[in-house]
Formats: sequence, C-alpha cells, structure tokens
Amino acid sequence: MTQREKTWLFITLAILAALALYPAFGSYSGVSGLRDILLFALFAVSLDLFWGRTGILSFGHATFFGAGAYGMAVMTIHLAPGAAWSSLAGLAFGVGLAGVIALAVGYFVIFGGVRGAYFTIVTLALTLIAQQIAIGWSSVTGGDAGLIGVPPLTLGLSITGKVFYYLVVAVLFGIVLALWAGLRGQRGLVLRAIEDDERKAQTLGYNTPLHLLAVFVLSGLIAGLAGALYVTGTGFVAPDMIALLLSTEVIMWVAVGGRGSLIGAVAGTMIVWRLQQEVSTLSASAWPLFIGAFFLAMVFFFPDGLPAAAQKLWTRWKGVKEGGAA
Amino acid sequence: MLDVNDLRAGYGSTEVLQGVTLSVRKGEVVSILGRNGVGKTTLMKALIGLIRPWAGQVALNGKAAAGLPPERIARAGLAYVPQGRGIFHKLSVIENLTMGTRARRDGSATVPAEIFEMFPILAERRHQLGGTLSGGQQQQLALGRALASAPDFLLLDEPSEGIQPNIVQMIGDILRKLAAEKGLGVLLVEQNLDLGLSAADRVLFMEKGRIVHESTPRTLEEETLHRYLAI
Repeated sequence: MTQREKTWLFITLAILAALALYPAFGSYSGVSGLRDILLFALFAVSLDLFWGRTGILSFGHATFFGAGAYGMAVMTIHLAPGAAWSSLAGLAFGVGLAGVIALAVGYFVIFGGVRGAYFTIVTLALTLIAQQIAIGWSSVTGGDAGLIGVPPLTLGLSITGKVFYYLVVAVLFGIVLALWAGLRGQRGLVLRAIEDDERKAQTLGYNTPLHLLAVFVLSGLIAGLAGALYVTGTGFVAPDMIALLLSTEVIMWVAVGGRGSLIGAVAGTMIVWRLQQEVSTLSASAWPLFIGAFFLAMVFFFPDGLPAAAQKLWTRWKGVKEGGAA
Repeated sequence: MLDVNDLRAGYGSTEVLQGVTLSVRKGEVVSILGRNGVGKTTLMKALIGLIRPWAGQVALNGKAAAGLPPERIARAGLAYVPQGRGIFHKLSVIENLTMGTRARRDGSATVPAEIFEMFPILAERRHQLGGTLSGGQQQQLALGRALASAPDFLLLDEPSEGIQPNIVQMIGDILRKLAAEKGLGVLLVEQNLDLGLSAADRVLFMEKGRIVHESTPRTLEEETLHRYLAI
C-alpha cells in the first residue's frame, strides 16, 4: 500500500468513525437530516465514480437518482401497496430502472463515440427529458405535486430512526470501500489511461467503450440506490429529485471535495450542505446565486476541484517561500 | 505475414490512400519513405483501425483485419507506436508498460523482463510519470510498451522524430535484433533517412497515396532518393 493510499484509508475511516458516533450526541432531527445528506453523498460518489475516474462529465445524473426515487415510490404506492415485500420490490424496481436507463442511453452515446462537452450536453438533455416525464405523466408520477406516502424501508421489519441511519452509513462506506478496492488494480489503471487518451488505450487492445459503459451503468445503479433509499426516509417523491438543479448541485459536491477520490465526494457533499444552511438563513434567493457564481469560478479557476487547486497554490507558495522557481 | 492490398482511406471526401499495396514478412524490416503529406501516417492509422478503410484488404497472418476496431486488430498481433510516441503522460513507466500487456495472446499481465534488458532506463525510472521523461526515454517507453504485447508485427510512425542520434541508432539495432531473433515484422515510416535505410531490409517509396517504388538499401541509387524525397 502506498503512502497516498494509507492517507486515503485513514481519512475514510476517520469520517466513518465520526459518523458512527454522531447519533450518541445528535438530536433525532439531526440524525435524520444527516442521513439524507449521506444519501446525497452516495449520489455524489456515483457521479465521482464516472466523472472522477474517466474524466467525462455527466450533467444528467439526477436522472438516475430520480429514477430510483420514482421507481421506489411508484412501486410502493401504486403497484404493491402494503405488501410485506413492497420495499424490496421498490428497491429492485428503482435501481433497475436507473440501470436500464443508464444502459440504454449509455450504449448509444458511448458506442456512438460521443465524448467531452458533447457527452455533457447530451446528458443534460437527458435530465430535462426525465424531468418533463416526471411532471407530465401525472397519473403515475403525481405531476408537479409528486407522490406522498412512500412507506419507510421494510426489510422484514420496518427500518427507521437510528437503524436506518446506520444502514445508510454502512451502505455508503461499503460502496466507497468496495469501489476503492475494485479500482486499485488493472481496471482502475485502464480507466486512468482512458482519461489520459482513449484512442491510445484502444490501440493497445482495450475495448474502451465497453469499459466506459460498464462504469456508467454501475454509476447509474448507485445513483438509483441513493434515490430509492432517500424517498423511504422523506416519505414523498417530487420532480425536484429528478431536476436539472440537482444534476448541477451534485457536480458542485464532487468538485468541492475533489474529483476522483470518492471519499472527497462524501466530504464535499457534507461541506456544501452546511454552507447551504448558512447561506439560506441570510436570504432565500442567495443560494441559487451562489451556485451560479461557484460554477463560473470552477470553470475558470479550478476545473479539477477545490483540493487540486489548493494543492497547486500550496506548492507554488512553498516554492516562493523557499526562494526557488515554482 | 502482413498483407495490404489496394487499401483506400481518407478524411471527409478526400481520398488520401489511393490504393496502397504492400506486404511485410515475419522477420523483415520494411521502411516507407516519402515527403510530408503523401499519406504515411494515414496508412499507419488505417492499418491499426483508427480510421476505417474505404476499400481494399488487410490480412494479418492470413486473417482479414480491415474494418475491425483497433482493439481487435491489436489483439490479433499488430502493435502500433504513433507519431509523437503516444505514451500516457499521467501514468508511471511501469503502468504504461502494463497497459501494453492487454493485447498479449498468452493472457499474461506481467511486463516481460526482456523489455527492461532492452531498455535499462525504463527499469531505472519505473515509478516516474511518463510525461516527465525526455523525448528519447519516451520513445523507448513507447517501443517497450508496444513490445510488451508480444506482437507479430510492429508499426512505427517516425520513431526518430526529435530524438538524439545515439537513441535512434539504438532503436535501429533493437529492431534488427528483434526481427532476426524473434521473427518480428516491422513496418517503419520515416523522413529520417539514417534510420529508414540502416534498419531496413526493403525500402518502399510513397507518393500521393500510393507505393510507387521499391528498393533495398544496398541497391538504392542517389537519383531515386532525390526523385521521391527532395523538396
């Protein structure tokens, strides 16, 4: 294990320990609030898996979160209300729906050779379409108002409160650690090579579209899982869970925490949510303004995220201090 | 045997390769010489599958390869070192070499030790990032990565470009040795006469998207060089 990996593992386990201890001190509403934020963090991890490891930005990831959320809601409210297995069926339906959308869209876009900014634009359009469907198909989705009455997660017994919180922590860190371990070896190397130059990787014998599609679908499945779990906590689903704004926010969460490290996405989500609470108490309209300004700044000043920019500044500052050319 | 028959390819509506026919036997080094813009790089890209041929046949060990995607052609035993070397700048030397093993037909993912024997500098710098190597070191890495796939045939696009003469000499020696000892077939595109002539068994001259003349380095006449290469 390299020094870098040790640091990563240390930070991850430290955050995990802090989160595990939190319910002992936090209030009930604090615990459920943090649980929702951790599910958004899982969503951010799903985006970081794709954007961070392949360098291709998806601007439509709310589609998959929303598919998971609506899949769970529609299954538990319309299709199998009250059944003992309806939560499980909702999980399968929501996650499956997200996976199928990722597979269908990803297949045509990725094998069609769409990359870079074009990929970002196509996925942005995907979110807009998904949002229109969620609003327009009101007999199923409840339209603008959404659907109310999603039952709590039931796996044999009803999972609420602290039990649900710990389940979310376990799922989040289980996935982060599994992805980290799975991407340490050859598979992660191929993705880094693709990020560097996909055509070169292809001439060395790698079926690069297949690698990209596999990561995209896995990313969509994880986003769907986050969405499906999220609505069992809030009890309702609404179009803003599949909206462009959410697609935008998740990019910000990953960018703040640093692209490519997975645990950075978790930290970034928590930091931004804390910030959002502070900014929103000043003025309700200040937050969208803040997001807009952040995006402009990101494009111009820190395209690889805040930690990478901070590291660059640090090395430059150290260079100046030591009197050498940085 | 790498057999190319009446290969045509281009960009948009411009036909760059206007019917290229050539063959490279195992254990043979063939160089293609020609002025800028006659289609040498386009030929390399069409052979490895980076651009789709419009017409014509490519046979690799008797199997049709034209029109296949690059990864299938690479796994069929053709390795490619592009112009500008094409190493991964953000990967380390050993990671670059490991990437090269995917196309091996024995399924091994280990970089063969002989690569480090051929290019000792790569062993010395194994954990250094590819982008931080000098031009000559990058060319050795690109060549080592291509050889890590244990190919039958090797395509080299201007390997001597921007590299100091002693490394060019070394590359030429290694190509000759691999051809003689391992039966590697090499197709080399060059503007640099030194490498193009010293390493090759046969020399092909390319003009306007076609092979227009064939010779051997020993029987080559000054006048021929002048005709096809002078500007």
